[in-house]
Amino acid sequence: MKKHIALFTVIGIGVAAAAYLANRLELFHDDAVDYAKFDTSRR
Amino acid sequence: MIKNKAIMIGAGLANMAAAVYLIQEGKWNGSNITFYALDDHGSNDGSTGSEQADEYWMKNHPMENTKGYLARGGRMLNYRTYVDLMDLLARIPSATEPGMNAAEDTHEFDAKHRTFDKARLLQGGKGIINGGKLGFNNQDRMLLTKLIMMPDSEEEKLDNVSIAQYFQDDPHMFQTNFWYMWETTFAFRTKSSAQELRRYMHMMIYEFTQIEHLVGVNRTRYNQFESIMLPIINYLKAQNVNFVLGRRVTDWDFKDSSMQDEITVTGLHMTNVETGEEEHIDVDDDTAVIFTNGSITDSATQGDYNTPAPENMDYGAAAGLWKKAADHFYNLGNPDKFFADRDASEWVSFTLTTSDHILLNEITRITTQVPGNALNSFLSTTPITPLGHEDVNMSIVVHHQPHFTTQKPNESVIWGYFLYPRRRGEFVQKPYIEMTGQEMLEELLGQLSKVDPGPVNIMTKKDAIMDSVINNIPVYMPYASALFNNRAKTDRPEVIPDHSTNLAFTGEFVEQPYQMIFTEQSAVRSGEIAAYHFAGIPMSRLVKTPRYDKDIPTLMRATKKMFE
Ligand SMILES: Cc1cc2nc3c(=O)[nH]c(=O)nc-3n(C[C@H](O)[C@H](O)[C@H](O)COP(=O)(O)OP(=O)(O)OC[C@H]3O[C@@H](n4cnc5c(N)ncnc54)[C@H](O)[C@@H]3O)c2cc1C
Repeated sequence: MKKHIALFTVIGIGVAAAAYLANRLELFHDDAVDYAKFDTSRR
Repeated sequence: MIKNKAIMIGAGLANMAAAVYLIQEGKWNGSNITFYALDDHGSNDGSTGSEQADEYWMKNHPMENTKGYLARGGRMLNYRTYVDLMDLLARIPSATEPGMNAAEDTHEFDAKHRTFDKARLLQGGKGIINGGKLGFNNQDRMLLTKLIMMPDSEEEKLDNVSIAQYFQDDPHMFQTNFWYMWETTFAFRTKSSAQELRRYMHMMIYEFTQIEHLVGVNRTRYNQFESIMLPIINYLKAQNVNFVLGRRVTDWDFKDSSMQDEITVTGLHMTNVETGEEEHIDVDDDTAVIFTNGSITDSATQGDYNTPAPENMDYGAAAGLWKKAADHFYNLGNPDKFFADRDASEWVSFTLTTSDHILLNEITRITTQVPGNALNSFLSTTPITPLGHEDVNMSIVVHHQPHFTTQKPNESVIWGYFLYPRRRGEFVQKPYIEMTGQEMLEELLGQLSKVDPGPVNIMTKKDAIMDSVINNIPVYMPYASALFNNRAKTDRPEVIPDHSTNLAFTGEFVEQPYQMIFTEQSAVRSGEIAAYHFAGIPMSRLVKTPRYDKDIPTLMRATKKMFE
């Protein structure tokens, strides 16, 4: 049981750290969005 | 809005890039594009001294000695991040290498002359310093990490924060090898913008790990005019693009609109700087106006071997016109942030031409490296900053020779600069800005002699070196680092500002996503965006920007480097 708690804690911290990093680095931000307002091609 | 014709105000790299993309991607006819500008090089100059002596900014400052060569700056490229520049160069033939495009020309030269700087920092009494030891303490690491981890969306947090303010509780930062190298590689001053430093830490994060050898620096075969601008000019002229040079565009006509926020240019006023006549052109509904709204070499002046560079107090052609537009509309930024504080932006550089290789060989001996792949910065041995710190006195770049196609076989050209021109020389007792070309050379020899490992000191050859000088041309650039001045995000207009129907802004004083400025890269990208906008090309076809700042292995290497 203790082993399981330790394992879940480690995994939990790892996931939280990865999520924090992904958020800080804006890993899922699509840079193309930044240029959309200049796009005249479909207008 | 889609247009079919364009007027370019300014003929620097940014607008020339826009013209190439309009022609190649927009399928425009070159004859529909007209440049109005003072000259056809902007900051990317490179020619004989005599050619530049007659240019606009020098008209009230005649040079006595126009011999030798002049390039107001050197050009360090970085293929890894300069993706738009390399895309542009791949589209046009080289001006000097038959059968190659301009990108292949640069790649071929660079592959044969890889940069590996062995003497990035030098200091009297120590000689070459191991710059690989960045010298951080924990507070330096923490503050730099905060910059690296700050996402683009939070950049406003650094609005109006200077580098000095950002590190105000950590003056140690300014005594690290990292700072000495970073400030002189990229020309940051402590008064510069922390927002821009953040951008550099993001875009140049890969190079951060190899900063001491400048391994990521790529160079063109010749100076930036012959290797970058000339191929583009040749190409554009062959496409029948019109160049109307010797013009200073001085004012706008804007359409009146009920809400007073629609930006539509209907006419331009200009001065023919050769005849002094005032001219006017109408801008019709089908014409885009693409304007480079700041130039870091506007108002730059030259001296010569016996004369210091004079100060020209002009606000600048580009900035002056920007100010008129910004006075009219509320969303076009604040030019005074960049052009009203010379103390934050000025530098002096010099271009030294010698008839033989004595000095070149001596520098090679002292720095232990061959010409063409280094930036050598000389650290003071006494405190010279207002905070009482040591700092870099001067930096030099010894180009691969020849640096100009017309150089005679034994002639050599060396470039150097002083980031803080009001500081006093160590060997010539006056501020650098007041020095003649000869005095700047004496200062350089003094610095070299201090780090000379011997046994025969360079000073024993001083007479021979002085005799070899053809000219040393000092240049005062009041706005050289202006683009780095402390700013808020709203101080620069966007490439296509809101409510603009036909006016775009290009170059180094526009707000673009992610791009760091003071680079050929961002100038080209701004022109590309403007071209795609007016030609109706999907923005999804813009050159893809690599994001090393989101690359975990690169970030890990950077973290490791911080502890070296
Ligand atoms: C000393 C120095 C060192 C540099 N080192 C590097 C380096 O190592 N690596 C790198 O990537 N980049 C470097 N750069 C920067 C690079 O040269 C610039 O980023 C680039 O040239 C900017 O191009 P631009 O077209 O935006 O502006 P510019 O080249 O300045 O051209 C704009 C032109 O438009 C003209 N213009 C604007 N408005 C008007 C008007 N109203 N009337 C008439 N003419 C007008 C200006 O006078 C100017 O000639 C350096 C620059 C300097 C000066």
